[in-house]
Order: sequence, then C-alpha cells, then structure tokens
Amino acid sequence: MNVTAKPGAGVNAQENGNTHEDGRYRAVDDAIARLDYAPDALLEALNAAQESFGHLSEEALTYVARQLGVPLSQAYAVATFYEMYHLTPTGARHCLICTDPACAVAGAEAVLAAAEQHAGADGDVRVHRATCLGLCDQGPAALIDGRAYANVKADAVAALFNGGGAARAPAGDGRAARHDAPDRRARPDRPGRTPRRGRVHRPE
Amino acid sequence: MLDPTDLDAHRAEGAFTGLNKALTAMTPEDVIEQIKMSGLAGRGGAGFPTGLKLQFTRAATGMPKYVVCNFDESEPGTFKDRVLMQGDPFRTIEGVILSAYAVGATEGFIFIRGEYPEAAAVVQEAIDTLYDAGLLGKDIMGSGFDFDLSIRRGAGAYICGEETALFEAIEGKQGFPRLKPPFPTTHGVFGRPTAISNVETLALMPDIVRNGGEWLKQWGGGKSVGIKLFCLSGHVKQPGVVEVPYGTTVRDLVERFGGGGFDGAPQAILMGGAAGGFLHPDNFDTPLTNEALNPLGAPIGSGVVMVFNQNVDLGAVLKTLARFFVHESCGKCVPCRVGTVQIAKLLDRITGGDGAPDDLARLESLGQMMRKSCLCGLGMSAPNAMLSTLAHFRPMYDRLIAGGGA
Repeated sequence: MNVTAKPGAGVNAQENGNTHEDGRYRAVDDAIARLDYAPDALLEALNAAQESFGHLSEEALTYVARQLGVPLSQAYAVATFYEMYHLTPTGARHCLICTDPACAVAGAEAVLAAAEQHAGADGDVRVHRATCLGLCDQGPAALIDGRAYANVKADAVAALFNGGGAARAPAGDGRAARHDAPDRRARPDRPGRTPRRGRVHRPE
Repeated sequence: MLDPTDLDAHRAEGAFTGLNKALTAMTPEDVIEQIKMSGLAGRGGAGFPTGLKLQFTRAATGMPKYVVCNFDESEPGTFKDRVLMQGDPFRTIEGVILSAYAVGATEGFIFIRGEYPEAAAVVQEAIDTLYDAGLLGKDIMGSGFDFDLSIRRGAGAYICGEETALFEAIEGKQGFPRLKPPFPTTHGVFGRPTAISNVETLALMPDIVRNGGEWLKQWGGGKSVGIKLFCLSGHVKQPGVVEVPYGTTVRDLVERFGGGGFDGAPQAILMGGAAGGFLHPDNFDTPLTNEALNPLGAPIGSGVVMVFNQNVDLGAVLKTLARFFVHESCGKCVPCRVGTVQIAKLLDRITGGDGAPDDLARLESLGQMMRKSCLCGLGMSAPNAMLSTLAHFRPMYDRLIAGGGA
C-alpha cells in the first residue's frame, strides 16, 4: 500500500526548490526543505525567519508564503495570531517578563517596571509582558533572547542584559545551562533515517 | 542524576524495555488492553481514559494515523512537563512510540510551546540520539515497525494547548479550535485519526507496559487511579514538582512535600491553574481525587497547586486571571470573546468600589452561560476561578460591595 502523503506535500518542491541568495535565509530554507515545501511548514518557517531576523518583514513573509505555495494572507494571518511573532523590528535584545499570579506574588510587576525602565534607556532592548513561562516554582521568571532566568530581582534586571550573573538559570535541570543558543535546525539526514515526512512505505 | 540525553545511562536504568516487550511479545491490541486495565486517564486536565483513546484511534478508518504529544503546557502554574522533559525526555518519547505502535501510526509530533526553547533543544537532541540508535525511523528494534517523530514549535498562544487548536498550529494555521465532534480519534491532525496525549500521560505508559496494567492500580482508586505530578508554587516553603498518589490530602501535599508547608497563613489555593478554581482553607483536608475536588469547583486539572497567603489581594489575583482569558481568547466564538471581557469589566467594577449587589448574580449567570455555550475548553473553563470564589469566598465580595472596593 502506498501511504498517502499529507495534502499539498511536495507540490512546490520541484518549481520552488531554489533557495534564497541571501545567506540569512538559510535556516528558513532548511525548515522549508525539511518539511517538503508543504503548507504545514508555515510555523516552522516563520519561527526560523523570526530567529534569523528578529522580526517578520514583509519580504520574509512573502518569501515564505511563495516557497510554500500558501496565500500571503494566510502567512500574515498566522504571523499576527501568535504572540511571539513581530512584524516590526524588535531591537537586538528581546525580553519576556512573566506576570502570572505565582510570579506576581513574588514581585513580577516590580521586575517588569525595572525592565521597562532599562529598555527606555537602552534602545536595543524590547520588553514584553508574558503570561506564564513555566517557571512558577522559581518566580519571578524572565526569558531573554531565548534563555530562561529565574528568581529575577528588580534591582538586578540591568545586570541580566549586561551578561551579569545576578539571576541564575533555572535550577533542577542542569542541562538547560548548556543550551545557550539552541541550534534548532535539523541535523542532516543520516543513513538509515527515513524522510521527516510521514511517507513511510511499508512492504506489502 | 542522569544526563538527560545519555541514552546508554537511561537504558541501563530500564528505558525502552517496555517498548522492547511490546514490540517482541505483544500485539498492539495487547498494549491497548494493558493501558485500559491500568485505568490511566489523561494528565493534561481533561482526564479522558487513555486506553479508550488508543482503542478508538486504532479502530478508526483512514491512513496514515498520527500520534501527537501535547507539550504546550501553557496553563499558568503548570511546569511539570518542562521538568519531566528536560530531566528525562526518553521516558515520554518511549510512551509516544508505544502509542504509535498501539494505534498503528507511522508519524508523530511533539508540539512544544515557543516559550520553551531550552526544553525543545533537549528533546531534539534526544530524538536525534534515538534515530542514531535505531529506536526511531525504520524497523525499530528489528521489529519491522516504522515510526518517525519530529518537533513542532508553537509561537505563544495558550489556546494551542486545546487539542484541535494544536492540530491547526501543526498544520501551519492560526490556532482556532475546531468544533467537536468529530473527535481527534477519527479526525485529528491533517484530518486523520490521531491519538493526542499529554507529556505526563505518555511518560507513565512505559512502566505500565513493562509491569502490566495492574501496576498503576496499586495507588488511588475509582476515577483517580495511579500517581500524579503536582506543581507547587506561590506561598509554599519549597515550591517544585511533587509526585504523589491520588487520595493524598491537599494539606498533606503542601505540609509534607512543600519543604515545611505553608509560607504564612494560607488564604486560598488555586487548583488546576487559571482554568481551575480556588480551594478554601476549610476544605484543605479534601483528598486529591477528581471525585472529591470537582464538586468543590477546584479540579486537579493539570496539577497546579498555587498557594496564596493572607497578605495577597485575592480580588487582584482574580482580575489577573480574568485579563489572562481576555488576552488568550482566540475570538472564534462569541460567548468566550465577549464573556471574558464582561467578566473582567465586572470584576474591575466590584474591586474598584462601584459594584452593585446584583453584579454577583450577573457574574454567576455569565459564568454558567459560558460553561454551556463556548466552543472549546478554554471558554468553558474561563469562568471557573471566578465561579469558585462566588461559591466559597462570598464574604470577600460582600465586603467589597459594602465597603466600596479594595
């Protein structure tokens, strides 16, 4: 039995198999190729673009939509639906401060105010309020440039942006500290590895 | 403590022996039978029997079939899945492969919320390691069973924890929930039969398969069988994740496992997160079972136990939760889109000192309307915390309305 592929999988691969000449699009091209140019690669491609550029420009959105064969309107709809996508430049540093009830009782509002004050003085920093970062046992929590910080103190916020050790990375998972800049691009396929798509052909 | 992605160390401790047993000595039906016998129910909040979910997905027509691991964990106060995955990703992935074998799926996804980049890196490393070891991909453990697994990352949307909204996100769309039925077991991701489970649920499956279905039944009973992870936070001496049998009392959980108990005289415990409810100190001796806690409006849900002491302004906490739902409502259905805003406005008015006595009846009927008419679990559970305070913390409202605000 030939297991059917997902709708749309691979239909654009032949015509759009080319990649972007701008090297910064490499991660985007990788994400798209990994998922066979299927429309469901949209979030993965936008995640990659957001990581490469810090925001989703009209050019990046148009490129991703064209490569996947989805309407630009859908790419725009997705880019505006999800909280973590930004359509305008966000600055070099991006910071989320958790203000859910557990972090709030630990003093998150003061941390947020301090972070916003710091951002006012440093044009490279953009601060956003987050709902829950999943560090409720170690609040107040912050996520800065993809790295989690726990037990953040309001008077130590500035040090966080300057690479200071004022707040520690989450305890209890020592591994986290080793992933400073998580490289989430797929490693090249190795021998014996089946394609990432679900078209696995079983013997009859 | 083992290195999270050191496969050899984990295998020396028994990782993947459950999968080996299933692939060599059990049919998919045998696996489903053991899961059904164990009484395992979903640990993400809804509590649907896992064995039935697998059985329905196996019985559904249409290929390919999928398994999905819900690692969206966006419920405020929940962090157990992150701790589990960053500490031992293999246990959950073994559960994913077992589910896939049980239902006949050829591909699976682990959906990870965008706020967990570090956990995503650990899980990706674990997946790569398993491909290298022949535990993912073609002919797993020489059994002829093929299964591919990959990560899909969210981008910051609480609604994507709802299973059908999560499918939409995997498909590259906005995370709007779908009307149910049809259920995921017949129409899941890409419209195909899909078994979707929470991280903690999947992490229990290897032990159930290895030890037999009776293993889990040695703890708890009734509709609350086995062991459950609880996330202690707020005014507890030592917050963190604790695994206890169902039936332990709420007070025992905090006092015996919270590193010395309550931090200050407790005022209330938020059970089950933003979608859960507040437990009054009079009810702290209630056992942690669905049967005992659901009637009190303080469900176990995903396992949130967030303690607030007497110094906390409970009205302010309620307003925070109300604003959370205003923000996270996807806007697809009217009762949720409008109802969440109305609840927040009424709470603002009451805590601001402009509340009228009939505002409480208004809140009550608004909440009941949302429970009955919202499209998905987000809207249905959005009024829960507010309704639990109307039932058990009435003096607070009376004081606010009589005294002109906080």
